[in-house]
Amino acid sequence: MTLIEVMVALGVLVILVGGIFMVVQTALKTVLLIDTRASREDEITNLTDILRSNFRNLPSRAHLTAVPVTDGKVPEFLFIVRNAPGFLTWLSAAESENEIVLLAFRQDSADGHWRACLKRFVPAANFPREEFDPKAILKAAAGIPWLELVADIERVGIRFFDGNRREWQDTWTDWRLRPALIELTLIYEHTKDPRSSAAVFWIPPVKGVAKT
Amino acid sequence: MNRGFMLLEVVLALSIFVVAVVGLVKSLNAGLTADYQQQRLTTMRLNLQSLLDEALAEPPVESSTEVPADLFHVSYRREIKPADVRISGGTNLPNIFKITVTAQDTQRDNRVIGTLWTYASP
Repeated sequence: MTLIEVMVALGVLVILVGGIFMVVQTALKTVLLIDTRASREDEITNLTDILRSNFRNLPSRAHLTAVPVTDGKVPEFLFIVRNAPGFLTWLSAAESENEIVLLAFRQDSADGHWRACLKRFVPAANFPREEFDPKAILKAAAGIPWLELVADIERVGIRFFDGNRREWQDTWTDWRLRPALIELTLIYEHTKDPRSSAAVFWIPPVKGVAKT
Repeated sequence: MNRGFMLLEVVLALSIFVVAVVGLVKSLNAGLTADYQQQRLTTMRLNLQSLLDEALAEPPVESSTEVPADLFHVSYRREIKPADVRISGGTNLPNIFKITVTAQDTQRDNRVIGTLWTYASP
């Protein structure tokens, strides 16, 4: 073999190996992408299913508000649910009928992504039963860690359907009434082809003003 | 003996290589298609449940509503009809409605149906 032949042979070998490497690398990347997307979809679907079944079974005496909270540190959207023993409980029973459940969508100041978190606590005996001020409740719940349900959400959209006024609104402030529907939109992959999940949950109506 | 490759040998080697690469690309494509289909099915199921839930927010009235095809080429039709529910003796129970949501996949001629029964207090 001449030197030229060896060089040509090596050149062809390098091109072939390079091609095979590219194909295998693309295959691995694709498998990883599909796997990641499937897990994300599972996480979001599970959260949606849990929320749907819990809102659908919300006790008739339960009260809820949902408002944005900006305390200067972590922007968040906070659901406050009271008088709902068993709401979003799956590993253990509610500790008390007076337990307060906080479901929050919190934005991470580092990367701007949102997380769905849960916190439940039994307030002190003298804590007012009609207190729905998010700051007072967050203060009472300080020190109790958030349980992270889903992380890395690009964007969150929440709306409430007022069954009496027949219109959608961005917050729910009157704890004496309950929304007929809650719409939750989660964009969990912001690419050229964004992946999102939009779900509407129905809450059983309660006639009149519910009393605590 | 100093001889190179025959044309036949080269063609054979290239053919094997091409077959292997095409197989790999096809399997990748199948994976991506499965991922897309999974996303469509999940979205279809979510939308179907949401349309059923939305129907519960209104007092049930006999109606038919069409939702045009979305990004995934799936259209939805919601029908609310009085249900024919009879108890022993043949008495018809009034004010019970059947809500049916049909998700029609216009690409694959596939449909998924969700049903719910609701009672309208008079």
